[in-house]
Amino acid sequence: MTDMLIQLDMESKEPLYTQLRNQIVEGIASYQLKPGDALPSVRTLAQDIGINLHTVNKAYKQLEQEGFLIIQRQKGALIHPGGVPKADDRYLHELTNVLKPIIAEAKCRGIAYEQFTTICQEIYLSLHKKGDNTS
Amino acid sequence: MKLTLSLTLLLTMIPIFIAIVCMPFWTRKTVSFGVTIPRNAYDHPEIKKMRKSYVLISSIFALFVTVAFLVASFIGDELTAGILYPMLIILYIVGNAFIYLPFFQKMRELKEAQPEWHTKSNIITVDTSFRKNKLTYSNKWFILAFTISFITIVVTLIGYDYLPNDIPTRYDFNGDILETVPKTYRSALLLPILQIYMTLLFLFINTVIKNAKQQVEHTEPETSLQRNITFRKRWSLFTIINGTGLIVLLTLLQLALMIPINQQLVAMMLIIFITIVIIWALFLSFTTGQGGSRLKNTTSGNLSHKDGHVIHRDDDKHWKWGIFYVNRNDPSIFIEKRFGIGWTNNWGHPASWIIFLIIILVPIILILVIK
Repeated sequence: MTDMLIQLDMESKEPLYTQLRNQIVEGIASYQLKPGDALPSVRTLAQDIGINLHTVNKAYKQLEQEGFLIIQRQKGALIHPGGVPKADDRYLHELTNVLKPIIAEAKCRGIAYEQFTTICQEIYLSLHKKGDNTS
Repeated sequence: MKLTLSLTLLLTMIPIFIAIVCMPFWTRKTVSFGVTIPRNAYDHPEIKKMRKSYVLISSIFALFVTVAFLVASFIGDELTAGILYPMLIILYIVGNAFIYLPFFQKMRELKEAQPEWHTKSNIITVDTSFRKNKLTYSNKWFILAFTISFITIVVTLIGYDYLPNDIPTRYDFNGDILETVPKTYRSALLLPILQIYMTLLFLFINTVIKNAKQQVEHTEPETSLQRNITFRKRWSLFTIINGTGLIVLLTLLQLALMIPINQQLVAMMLIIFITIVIIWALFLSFTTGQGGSRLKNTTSGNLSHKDGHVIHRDDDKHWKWGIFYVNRNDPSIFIEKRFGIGWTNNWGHPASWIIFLIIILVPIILILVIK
């Protein structure tokens, strides 16, 4: 049985649906959520977290659009059984655009190239570890 | 009143007293007197002292109620016992709320004075696979109770001529009839229809146990959820078995009107049954605790957890007196009680009020229709 813990910070500036979306993406990246796994229904998850149904629905809808989930009428939300669509040119372009201001800020604040890549490495590898013992 | 009867009744009261007196030890260790506290603060000397003094005050009150009951039962007869017994229990429970409230107030002040307990963040943790577990026993078990109730209806209709001309509506503790109504199809069917209502009520409770909000203790997420599953399953089993048992007994009560079954025997069985239910509930409360908090961990509890000294999910502002949950933004209707064993409802959810009204109104309407 999968055991994915979602953590949301109610006081954070980041909107709840974005936090929820990011947590689920992390869960998929770290193999805690595997292709074909069912997610709780919008209502159940909203009740367990104690937030508005629309917030959960918004996160699920976004994940569906991005190809992480499929939402079926009967089975509810599933992690895309065919796996997440592989990166294409458009995604690479988007990734560059998102990273650019982050790297620029880090550079302004005096973070060296090596230090930045080390941080990236650590984050990337930490996502590998979690799922390894279960898969 | 007969001594054996008053002693039997007292015997059923004692487990209720114990349950309420020991309540601070049975709630979750992250909630003290209706106020959320860090997991590590459970052993704070001030809170320990409060638990002790609550037990002391509540025990004295229980003793007072016991003496009152004994004195009254020597003076009065069975009729007074029938009224006195439920009234004293209600008095005890309501009176105890007034003992609890100052402790709640003091706990809040204590928390206010401890800034190191609070985090700047308010983090909520949920397990996405929690509801893939079997949380309760199936509602299909109630088919048995429904079948028995329907059989009672059929038997009542077939054996209508064998029913006495006066249908009893109230009994005393000896099984003697206190009040009757003239026989009509309506009055004859009162009891079996009540059985259907009660079966629906038990089915509803079992559904509440299944659907109530998930609660993760952030210091030990996996084990706290495992314990919570055990907690839900045990109370689900309790509800199904005792619910069905009660339906069977009520059928016997109806049958006793048509065929010569000793009424005293049925009344005796009812008292024994109630005693078993109360002791079972006490046993479950003691061994399982609220939310499963008294269960031994499958892995050792990690008290030195880095966040054991702070509160993670602080929703005190939604808990009026630590008793009533009112949160309009929460779509869940049912949630674990803070000071007590079991579940309560979210008064901020409109469905709460509708359910509450239905449960209250149905038996009132039923009785009005008969009379």
